[in-house]
Amino acid sequence: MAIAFILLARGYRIGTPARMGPGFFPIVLGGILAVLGLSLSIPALIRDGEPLPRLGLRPLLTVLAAIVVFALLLQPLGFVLSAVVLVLVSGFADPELRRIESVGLALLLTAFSVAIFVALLGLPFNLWPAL
Amino acid sequence: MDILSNLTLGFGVAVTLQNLAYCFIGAFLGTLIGVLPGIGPVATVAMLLPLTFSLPPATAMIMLAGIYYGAQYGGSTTAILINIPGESSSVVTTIDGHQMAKQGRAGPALGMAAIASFVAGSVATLVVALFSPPLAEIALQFQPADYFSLMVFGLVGAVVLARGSLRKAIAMVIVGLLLGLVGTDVNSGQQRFTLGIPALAEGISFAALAMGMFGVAEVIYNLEQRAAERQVRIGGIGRVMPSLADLRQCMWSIARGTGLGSLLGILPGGGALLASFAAYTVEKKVAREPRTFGHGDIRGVAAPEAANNAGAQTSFIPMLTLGVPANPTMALMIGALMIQGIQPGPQVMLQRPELFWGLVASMWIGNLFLLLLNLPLVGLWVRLLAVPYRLLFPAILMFCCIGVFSINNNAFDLFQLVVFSALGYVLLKLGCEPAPLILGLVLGPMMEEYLRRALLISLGDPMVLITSPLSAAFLFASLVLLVSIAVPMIRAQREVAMKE
Repeated sequence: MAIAFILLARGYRIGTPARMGPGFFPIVLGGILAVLGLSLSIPALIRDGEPLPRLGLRPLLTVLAAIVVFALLLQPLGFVLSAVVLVLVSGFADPELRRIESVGLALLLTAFSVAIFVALLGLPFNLWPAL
Repeated sequence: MDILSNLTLGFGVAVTLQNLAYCFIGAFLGTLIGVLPGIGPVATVAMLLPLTFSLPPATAMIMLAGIYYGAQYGGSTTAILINIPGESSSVVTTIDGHQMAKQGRAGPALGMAAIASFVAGSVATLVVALFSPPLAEIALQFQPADYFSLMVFGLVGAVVLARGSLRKAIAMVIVGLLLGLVGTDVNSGQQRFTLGIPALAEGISFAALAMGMFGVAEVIYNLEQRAAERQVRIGGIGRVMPSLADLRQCMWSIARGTGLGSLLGILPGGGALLASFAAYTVEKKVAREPRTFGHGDIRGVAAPEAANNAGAQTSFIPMLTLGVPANPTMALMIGALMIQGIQPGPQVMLQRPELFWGLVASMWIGNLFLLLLNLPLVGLWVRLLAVPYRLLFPAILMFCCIGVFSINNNAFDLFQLVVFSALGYVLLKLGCEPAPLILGLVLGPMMEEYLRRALLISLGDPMVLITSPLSAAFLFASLVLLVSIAVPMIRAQREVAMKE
């Protein structure tokens, strides 16, 4: 708990050093936030006990990785392939999801999204790898 | 008679084929997604937001409004059937609603919820139509200082009603305000907090933040909670139509719920939630034999459902007339308006009467659609509830990704999504509510703008915030709210109320 709060509080104070003039509002807010951050983190430091809630790393990392991969692949590979990869990668986040379900889901969802977003709504996606 | 001609204008806008269709689609999609376990109205609206970007403003708002009350109703369905409220304002519905479902009376409970919502929605729509114009008139006279203080008041209200630690909620608001400042400064053209990334000059992608915090972060959180897998067991639904006796019994409950909801919905900070709690409490007090409450009393479903729907409807009033969101969903609506290039505020009603009155008219139509959708389609929604989460979450992810990307066709927005998902997850873990943050994000730039203008007019004298009577009143009210919540006795009561 404490560590996370310190990190947060430190993030808060970064808000302060802005330019003068346009910086007035951010400085005031940053100041309030720094005080609040400290008031939250100091008691948390003193009162030990309550450990930091355990982060579920597996879903966190896989889900985020899936989005990153999607973002990276979208331009070079086109929507269809990257969407399939998105679902496949995110499937690893949940141990209960069977491989075959994951593949089926990927194909189904991709086809569905193409139908709705590209065909129906006309979003400008590159569907396939640009040649 | 002014209002009649306005409503005629509104219905003229709302009853075009296109707008009717989008209203219907909105209500349908909203219910569809709202019913899925683990997705509340905010996440639903955030996810479906991009669908509306290519539409004209009035149609977009009509569709979003449809999504909103669709999702709201979907949340009540899950509350009754599987005891999982889709959002905080249907928490109360679980008390008697789920008991009814256990007794095999799920059908009447769902039907009553639909009917109560419809009645309340119709009345509340009328309230919106009656009270928005005068309020906007008043708001037009606001000086910048008054606006600034009004927004402070709105944010304080949101903080007070947030669950959990008060200081955390305030911190969240301020983080939101600061995030709202990222980008090019309107007055000086200075780039602030962009970390040298050109894509950030336009500011933080609102959709990326909303979907990261409410969509993806929730997905990660839910995946992690898998150990405590909820058992979804659904008994028979039975007849959906409540009996005449039920209806007669609930008539006054619905009326009371509607009144309370309409009133409390206007308050900043999630009136629908407060309204549903208040309505339930009142019903319990009024009832002749209060002991049946908590054991599947149909009035315990009708009153809070009427209240939360009325509240959901009237929470549009501050959003439309003042440009101040009463809850996160309204913040999303304001975001949508701004993406459409419309600056929310009292001038919307004057400059875009077709938008305002069209939306009001469509509220009523949307409620009618909901009633028509829900009574016959309950069976379908029930089957949706059985969809396992492992098949659901990749779909949510995909919609979020497509949505975020499609706004600017910019892969960088997807990285923003990643960052805000991670942030949202950590905040969830720390017990910080994302709702105040998003309100802050929307209000941040506006607040700064008004404050600057106020100070410019007063030649830099900050006393203008206090010498203007309206502004002083808002600030004073904010202070009272804050102090009252900080006083231990009231805080204890609040915690009790939140726990219930």
